Amino acid sequence: MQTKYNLLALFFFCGAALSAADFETTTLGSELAARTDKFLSGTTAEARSQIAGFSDADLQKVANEFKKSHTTAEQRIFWLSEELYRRNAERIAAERIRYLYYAVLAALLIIAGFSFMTWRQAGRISRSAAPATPATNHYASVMESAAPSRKKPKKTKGRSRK
Amino acid sequence: MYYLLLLATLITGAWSANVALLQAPADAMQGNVQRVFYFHVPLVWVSFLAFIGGAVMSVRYLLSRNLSHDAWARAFIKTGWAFTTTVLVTGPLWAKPVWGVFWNWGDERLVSFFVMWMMYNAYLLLRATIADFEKAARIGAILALLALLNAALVVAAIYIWKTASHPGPVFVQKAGSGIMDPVMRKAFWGSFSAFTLLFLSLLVARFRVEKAVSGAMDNAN
Repeated sequence: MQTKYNLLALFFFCGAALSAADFETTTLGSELAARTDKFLSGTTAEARSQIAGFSDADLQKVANEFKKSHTTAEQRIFWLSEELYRRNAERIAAERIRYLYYAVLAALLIIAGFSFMTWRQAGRISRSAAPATPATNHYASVMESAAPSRKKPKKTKGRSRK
Repeated sequence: MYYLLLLATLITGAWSANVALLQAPADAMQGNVQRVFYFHVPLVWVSFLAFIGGAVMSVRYLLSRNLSHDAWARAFIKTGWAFTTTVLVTGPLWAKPVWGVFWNWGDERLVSFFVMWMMYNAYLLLRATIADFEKAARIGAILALLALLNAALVVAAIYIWKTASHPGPVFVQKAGSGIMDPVMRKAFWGSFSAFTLLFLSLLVARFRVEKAVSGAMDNAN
């Protein structure tokens, strides 16, 4: 499938390069025609650097005029080429949004996890504040263990009061 | 006062998330994944802020042997560690769609940042494993200073090695690069403020915990 797309793209570029020589830019208007002529006559590097200078409307005009000078069959090959680029662009955009989503999610999870841990430790410390005999053996024991609680034994006096 | 700080963090965070994720235009070359920079770069900033604070408090502890300074150092470094970990996770998630790989071991800034994170891991391990609290505080303070030297190397890496992946600071590049759109600038500085406030909130909360631990250790001794 990929080979087929590559062949189509190659066909499109070869066709475009061959037919560009016959492409009449005069119908584009003087300013756009001058820029298009400059784009067509420059080296590959120069042409590539000029692509961003064309606005959406400019691109639409140039593409329309170019397509008009071709047969129906050739125009349909252009459709396929355009479809190829559209699908690639969509795939790349979807991939970038997905990674942005992962990054936001990861940042939220890590910071929320750290905040939760701090909040839990602060809660434990405040519950066990000022114990009569503080833990002395280990740093972690202060952080992790709750204050010892003493339950008063029931005074049953040997039998149930029920 | 602390609750005011929390409120300011929440409001700034919500506003900046809205601007960064919804209002700012997508980058012409990188598309939407460039928005990762709105929190990746501020996270790096607060990480460095934390480690500088940790080193300053470590020096103060070494000079005074006051456990409160050590508690501040621990609070700075633990909070900074959380933010540095986030940097190390979000960076590769941006790199994958843009560079094609999650990580580039040939980039000196990435490697030095990773080494810095490992040094702070060592700090946390050391503090958790040495039973003698004062001894752990002394060794930890020296390690925090060494780690700060590595942090300086992270900053200088782009100038020393001219790293290809990190060509230069975002705001002082030549014309035509860096963040130029006004809404992008607003998103960046909004996130910058939000993460600084978030860092301060977490730092204060963390300090309360660490101070309580230091107090318990002081009583025990």
